[in-house]
Amino acid sequence: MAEISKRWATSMITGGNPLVFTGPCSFPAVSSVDGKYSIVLLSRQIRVYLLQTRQCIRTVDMDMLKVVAVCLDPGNSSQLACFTKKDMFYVSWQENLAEPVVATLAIEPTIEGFVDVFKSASDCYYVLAENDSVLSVLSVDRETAKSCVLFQIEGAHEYAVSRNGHKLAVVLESLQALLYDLTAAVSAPSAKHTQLGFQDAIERTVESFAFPHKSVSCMAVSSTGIIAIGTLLGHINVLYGGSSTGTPKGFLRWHIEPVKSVEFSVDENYLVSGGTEKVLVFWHLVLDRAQFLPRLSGPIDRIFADSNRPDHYSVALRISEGALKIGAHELLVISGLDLVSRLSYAPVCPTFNSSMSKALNAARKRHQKIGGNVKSISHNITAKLTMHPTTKHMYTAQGSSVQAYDLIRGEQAFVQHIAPQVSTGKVRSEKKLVDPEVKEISFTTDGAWMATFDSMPSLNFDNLMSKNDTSYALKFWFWNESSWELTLKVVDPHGPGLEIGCILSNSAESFTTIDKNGGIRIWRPRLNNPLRAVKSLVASQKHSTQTVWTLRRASQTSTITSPVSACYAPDGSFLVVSHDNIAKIYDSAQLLPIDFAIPPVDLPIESLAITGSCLVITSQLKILSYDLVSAREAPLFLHVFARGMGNLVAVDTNKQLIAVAYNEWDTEAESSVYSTISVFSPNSLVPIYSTTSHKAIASLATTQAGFLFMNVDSEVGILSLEDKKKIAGIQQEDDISAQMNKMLINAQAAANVLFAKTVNRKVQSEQVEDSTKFTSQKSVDPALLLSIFNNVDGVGLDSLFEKVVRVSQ
Amino acid sequence: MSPPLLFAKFDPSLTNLALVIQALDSHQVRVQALVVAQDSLNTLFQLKKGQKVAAIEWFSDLLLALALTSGVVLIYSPAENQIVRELQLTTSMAIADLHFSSVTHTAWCVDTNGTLCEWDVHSYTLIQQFSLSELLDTTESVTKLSTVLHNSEPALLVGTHSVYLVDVVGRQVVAQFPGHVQPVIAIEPAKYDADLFLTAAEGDRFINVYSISKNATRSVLVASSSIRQMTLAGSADLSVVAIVTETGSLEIFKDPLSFDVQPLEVSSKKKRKQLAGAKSKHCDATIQYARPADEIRNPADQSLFICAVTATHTHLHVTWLENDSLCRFDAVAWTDGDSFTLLGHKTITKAKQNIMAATHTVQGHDVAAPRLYSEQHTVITDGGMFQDELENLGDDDDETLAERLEKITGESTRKNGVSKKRLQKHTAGSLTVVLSQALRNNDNALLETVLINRDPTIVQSTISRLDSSLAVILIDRLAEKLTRQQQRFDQMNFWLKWIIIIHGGVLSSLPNVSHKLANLHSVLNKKASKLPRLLELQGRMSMLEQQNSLKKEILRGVDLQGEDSAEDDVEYIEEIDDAVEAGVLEEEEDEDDDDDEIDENGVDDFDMSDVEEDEE
Repeated sequence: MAEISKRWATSMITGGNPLVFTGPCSFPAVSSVDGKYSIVLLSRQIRVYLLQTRQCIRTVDMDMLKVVAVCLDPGNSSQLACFTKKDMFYVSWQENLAEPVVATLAIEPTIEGFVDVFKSASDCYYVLAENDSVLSVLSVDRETAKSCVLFQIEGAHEYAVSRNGHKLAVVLESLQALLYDLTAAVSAPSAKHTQLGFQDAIERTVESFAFPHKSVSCMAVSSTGIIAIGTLLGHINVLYGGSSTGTPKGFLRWHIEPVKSVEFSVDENYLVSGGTEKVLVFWHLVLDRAQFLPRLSGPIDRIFADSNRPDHYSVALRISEGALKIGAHELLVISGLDLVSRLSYAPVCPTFNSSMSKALNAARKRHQKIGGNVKSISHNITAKLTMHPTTKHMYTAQGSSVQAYDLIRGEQAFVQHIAPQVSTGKVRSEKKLVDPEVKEISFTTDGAWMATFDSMPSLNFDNLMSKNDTSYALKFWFWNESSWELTLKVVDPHGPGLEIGCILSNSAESFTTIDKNGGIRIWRPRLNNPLRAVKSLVASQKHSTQTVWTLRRASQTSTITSPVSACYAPDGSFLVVSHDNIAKIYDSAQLLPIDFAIPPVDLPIESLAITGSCLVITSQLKILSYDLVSAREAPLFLHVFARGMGNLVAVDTNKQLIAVAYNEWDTEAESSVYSTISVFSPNSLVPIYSTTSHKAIASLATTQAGFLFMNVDSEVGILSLEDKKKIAGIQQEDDISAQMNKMLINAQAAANVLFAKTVNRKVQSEQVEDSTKFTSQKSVDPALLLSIFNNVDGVGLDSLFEKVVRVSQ
Repeated sequence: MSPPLLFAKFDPSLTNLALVIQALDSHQVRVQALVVAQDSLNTLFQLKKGQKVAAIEWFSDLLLALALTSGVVLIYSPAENQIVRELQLTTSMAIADLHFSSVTHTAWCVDTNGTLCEWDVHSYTLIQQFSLSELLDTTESVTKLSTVLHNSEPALLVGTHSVYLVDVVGRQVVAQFPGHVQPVIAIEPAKYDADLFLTAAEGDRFINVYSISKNATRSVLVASSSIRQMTLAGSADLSVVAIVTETGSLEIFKDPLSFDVQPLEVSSKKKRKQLAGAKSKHCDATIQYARPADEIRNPADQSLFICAVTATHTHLHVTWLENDSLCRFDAVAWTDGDSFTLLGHKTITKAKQNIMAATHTVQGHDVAAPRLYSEQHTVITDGGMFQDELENLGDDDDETLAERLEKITGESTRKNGVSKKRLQKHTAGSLTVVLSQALRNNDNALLETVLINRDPTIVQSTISRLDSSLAVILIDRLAEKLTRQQQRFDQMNFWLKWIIIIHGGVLSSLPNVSHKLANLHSVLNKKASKLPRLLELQGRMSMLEQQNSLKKEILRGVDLQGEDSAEDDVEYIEEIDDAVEAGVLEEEEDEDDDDDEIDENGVDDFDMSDVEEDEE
């Protein structure tokens, strides 16, 4: 037992969601000093992107979830200073180290309510903290991590610090907006910070404006003292601090919904704002002119302008518009010159059937009511994943679009809209507009075709007769080099009002759709234009004309609507279709029922799969395997209770393995979940391998490398055999982790070659007295050395060595 | 040089290449980094109209001097992409050559009149100026300048048709080296041996190696065709001369300055008699750049035209133009440190460079943005459209050769017949030709232009002349258009009607007609399924109407009681309403309310019925 279990391993593939910082200054995409790299901070990974090629050149795996603020180390730009509520640590992002964390320092004394780091000087960091609406400005020494309060203000409601850290703007709960000049504090050396006395000095610089605090949603302050305050009502108030004459106030009106974020451009000529309208608005502060960048892919939550990259704007766009407390963000870096993206990072964004917090609440209530040993989570917290058979992209449906996620690169490949949708953000009554929703995705075995099914409810505006009509569309997409091309749309594919519950394909030239009333239809491709068809047959050109899919077989439907699922036999000879709690076997050629009774289960069947001669039936209550040859139940029988269990079972038909995930509410630790993934053979009740985690599993899928799982934080991992060579040498190239590595190395090499010379020129001067400090540790960049090896032909080893020494000195 | 390119010169540190390009009626200066990725410098500077470059020279890595035919030297800074200084020659004559001397660290300039100027390149001050004609009695104009150390004193090599060694301090001609019949275009002093220098002349195949001390030609290098550019590098032990000929090929001479090597061939040409005693040799190696075999499109691809060459102590740097605009570079090692590595002919294949510009947009669409939904080129059908496989098997796949033959012949005869018929029948009022064209070629746009017509006579005549076999396809297309846009039924109606009237007979005789018309059937079926709803709506409308009339009747009854004429009813009530609103009248309110209630009840009732019906 122990020997076998060793051969399986669990590893995470994706880096998770970008971090969400609550502070006004930190953003999860940090630009390197030269502006060439972007360091993207994810919940469990740091990814370094080369902006020019949009490629990820380095990943650093580490748990970042507790990080609240981040900035580049002012002393060594190849290090990132990360702050948690209690300590600070340095991560080297520029090179691969065995231990990426270079140093960890505990902040003393601990800062209550740590919010953000707003300025980093050569000797200390300046920190904002908010505790019981007392806003404090503190300094944290770089060497000793000693914290020291510089300034405090009570009753702060909203606040902002200018980019250079010299201005602090605060909206007080006492209907006032105040502007402070922090220059005295932030320009003093850190040794003097303990002497205090800054409180008075700063308070003397105050400028006060009357301002109601209730409607404030976000604010920003420029280094010249202009305060921009975004409100819930949609207008932006501009208060000109520091000007003794002229208009002290201004209004910028365009937003109709709450302004989510305002930010000054680096040159402070522009104010950039955004909100749920999905429009980035550039306000020219002097010319009083506005420019718009509409049709972003999500509502804007944060805008950030990085002083290391003055002509770019980083934007965090919300992906899930649902009620999740902290939504997942997509990060976008936009060039201010052409308003075209330079970088985007989007996490996996599946559609969960219900949110984790809801499910936990329900589980807790049930536990309180019934008590005892009730641990199961009854809500359906699962999401559906579909794997593309050839490109290995993971497809998830999100509203009316489909996301293809490249697991090898660990980033989103593309998002394809499956149905027409409103591309602008919805505001006010527009929220009643419903977008179509993609329900099913399936691929042919050669990966050339995709079938999607979406439903579009009618608009319910004027109490029309058609208000309860839902239009359904089955769409066939052809993979054309690098994108999906819609070739056929079938309206109401199973007749009016019938919804497809399952699409599957067992060959390159057929899709089978099953509606929720149990009707089965088989679709096959044919050339569209009969006149052309003859010609192209003669010329034997396959894709010269448009191919359409036509309906070839249909079976009778029943009148009962209930969940369906289906699977093909491995040899394609028959089709097993379940409708409600009964599974039936059909001849796959003629769709005639075969007289073979499979015993019904007690609750609707959620998924079916065949491995070998075993039919694996998953219902909400149990998972059982049924041997079709001997017509009796196989040993594997699991009793579960979870809605959406169909997504938590994956069957590998080749290896004859079944993976089952199960989530339990952990009664010991409140609000935490205990999940188990087990791999079974259909002939045994004892799992071959089992792994547990503290994040609920939302989905399982089968790949050639192993079983893919996704948890509720939409992080994707893989369960795979550790030593692939022993098991099957052929499958080596399918090993995702190997491919990931290869890719990283290639991207890195490209980046190194590109910038070898420029890096070479930046010879950094090093101070001798700093050499004892840990922060002064400098490493030789391999990129520096790489340029030496250009044109190395004919160079003697001695001269080569000399060159290396010269560079490293 | 190849037509657009006038001058090409590598900078001393070999990081950039300066090019002067003829651009329409003006000259352009371009500075391009050798390794694009390492150094992003790629500037283009447009000279003013009439400013013609006569010579270029790098003063340093960062400054390029452009000598103009107007007697001005422009100092151009590629980093700033602007002219930072202008030096004006006092003579205002066209400049013949500009030379930056590594010996004196000054710039030397000569105009066509033979006036020599020496400039300080830091302060841009004129150091000295003198005329060659004072020293020399010659009518030949100076074409090339170079400097050497002669007896530890800087001396100027002035190239006309001959080469003169001029002592710049004493301002006198020290020596004269005749040998070329054409103006000299290149003088290369050997850096390690001040005694030797090489010259090449315009339109001449020979390079002369002169010894200053011996005042004679030591050897002659013979190229295969006229020399365009020459470079020399190496040490006393090992040296190399690389030349670019006017055909753009690269020829390399090993150890041109060591004279113990036996000449490969002693020429017997007349011209060479004057060089008697000097040894001549041919090139030791040639390098040719070519495209890979699969990329060769024209003869020029077999041998890329080399623009410039320069040699360092280990490498030859070569450049050629890609697409006549962008320089590409290559470095070839000519020595491995102690021996010469190039021998014989070598062809280096270079594939055309795919310029991988980081694309942030695909067809104007941001790559990071979601791919939008478009059903422009999509076939839209309905779930009711059922097509059996049998039909497919019957006509497409299993076609025998005989059948095909028959089809072809049949088709051709039919075609002939049809075309004749059509010619006869061709009238202005028909769109048959266009329509059949559109259907045969699956041309959607063309089909649209036909279907836009609604004139019954045109529709009728078009359909009546349409081939029946195309009618089926037309029906299919119409059905698809209907599925896509339901509201177009009005427009399509005409066409459908006439197809069925005129071609109905043929259609009904077709085999498998139910499959062929499945599309249309499903669309029409869908249309027909709207009938119950319409009836329902009609019912509601009539109910409303009846309620309304009932209400009127009741009101009339009230009004009659109030002694009012029936015709003034409506107006009067409105006035009352106004009055009520104004607060003048109060008593009538109750009545109005009652009315409203009735109204509301009516609506409520039928809302209920609505819900019930829907539930059913």
